[in-house]
Amino acid sequence: MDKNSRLLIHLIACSLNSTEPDSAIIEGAELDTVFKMSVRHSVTALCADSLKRAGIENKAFENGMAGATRKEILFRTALDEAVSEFEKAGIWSCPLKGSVIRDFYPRPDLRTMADCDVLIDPVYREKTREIMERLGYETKHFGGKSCHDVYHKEPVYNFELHVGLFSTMHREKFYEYYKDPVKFLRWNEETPLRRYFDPEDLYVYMMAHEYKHYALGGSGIRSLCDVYVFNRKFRGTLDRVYINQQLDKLEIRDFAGTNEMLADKLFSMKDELDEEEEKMLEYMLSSGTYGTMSHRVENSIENLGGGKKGRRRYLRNRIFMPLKEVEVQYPFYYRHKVLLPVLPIHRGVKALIKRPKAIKREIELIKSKKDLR
Amino acid sequence: MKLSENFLTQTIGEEIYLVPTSKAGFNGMVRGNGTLGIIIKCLKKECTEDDILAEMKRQFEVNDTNIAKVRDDISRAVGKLREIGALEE
Repeated sequence: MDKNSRLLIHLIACSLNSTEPDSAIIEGAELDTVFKMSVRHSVTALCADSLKRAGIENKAFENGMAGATRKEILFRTALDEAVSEFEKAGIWSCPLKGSVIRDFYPRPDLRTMADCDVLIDPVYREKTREIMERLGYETKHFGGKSCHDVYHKEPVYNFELHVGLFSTMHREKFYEYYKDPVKFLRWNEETPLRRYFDPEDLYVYMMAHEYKHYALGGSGIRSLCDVYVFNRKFRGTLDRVYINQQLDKLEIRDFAGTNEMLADKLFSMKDELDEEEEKMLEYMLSSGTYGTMSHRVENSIENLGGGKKGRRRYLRNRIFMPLKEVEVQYPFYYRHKVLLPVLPIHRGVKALIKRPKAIKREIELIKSKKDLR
Repeated sequence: MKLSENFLTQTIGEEIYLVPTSKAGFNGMVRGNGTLGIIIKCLKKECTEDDILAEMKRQFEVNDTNIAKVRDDISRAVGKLREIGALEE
């Protein structure tokens, strides 16, 4: 691990454990580079917290921390408001991901969120749209086979309201397992519409969600922070037999095991990593929170058989989108299949106008992966 | 006077934060300790500076030697909140 990555991990660990950083590790590292890494991994607030503890002033990190605190306060209020309105309308809802996990951190603003994810009763999908628009949100995406709708309000509010946890575009095992998410939800008698997961199911979902990203474009260090704080909070109280059974059903038990060990070793700053853990860490460090195109291309080619065959299939799927993806991403064309031959042209023109550099980069990546397997 | 609904508050750790919404016309963030926390808590409903002083007396040891300072601290905090548009009069 290079010195900047080592400092990044060290600062995160110190923040998660509320300890003072080792100045020997800070010395000689390039804070500008570490800042950029922290942004890619959405861990700026954690690093800023540790630097402040070490008495080091750095404007970029301080501004990052202030932004995270501001977002936490705005998001929490917005989430409370939305859930209250859903409740008044008789709609159950269940906050997901960062909205829940942030409260396991030493301070909630250390856990950066780009948006608020909430699972809602799919029966009331249209009604929740009315509510969100009444609250001043603009609907960015709604309906179709996508498992979530997207809403935005200035200055920073982004909501993803989920009607399902995985769509048909994702791994079949995940889609089938979570086809009826209601069976996993719990509630109190006093507030039956405010739903939540038991810790075990929350953990399984957390792992499934992370695997979804890890296996495609990659996932970053922040997900390891989530695993670490979760296990610290619930250590000794979890039904591990149940968890392992569910992970086996999803075929991600090995992944979860390595992930958990890596998070623990990294942030408790104890034992050396083994080979699998090193490999996972290297991959995650190179990924960033939302993965990279390079990983996505490589993993996709690999999943399609690898080598020349994989590349050919990848290229074919990129040009002639598989029907189950059309169903989710282009429902209009799915409903009017006679127009499917036009879709590649539509997508191609749209991409050339909006993302010409990304297209060029993807073509270069496909060419560069010719030596895979 | 009362805290404007265009400002949101939250206690994180031992600090209180005051953050404007987009309707506030102020672009920044206020951070303070427990004393500011008490002032802001009072301002969540209609109150006067005397009401805030009364609450301070309930929570801290305010006596003849420090009452002037406490009054002054309250005035300054309220003044700053007024300056950024965080109060409805």
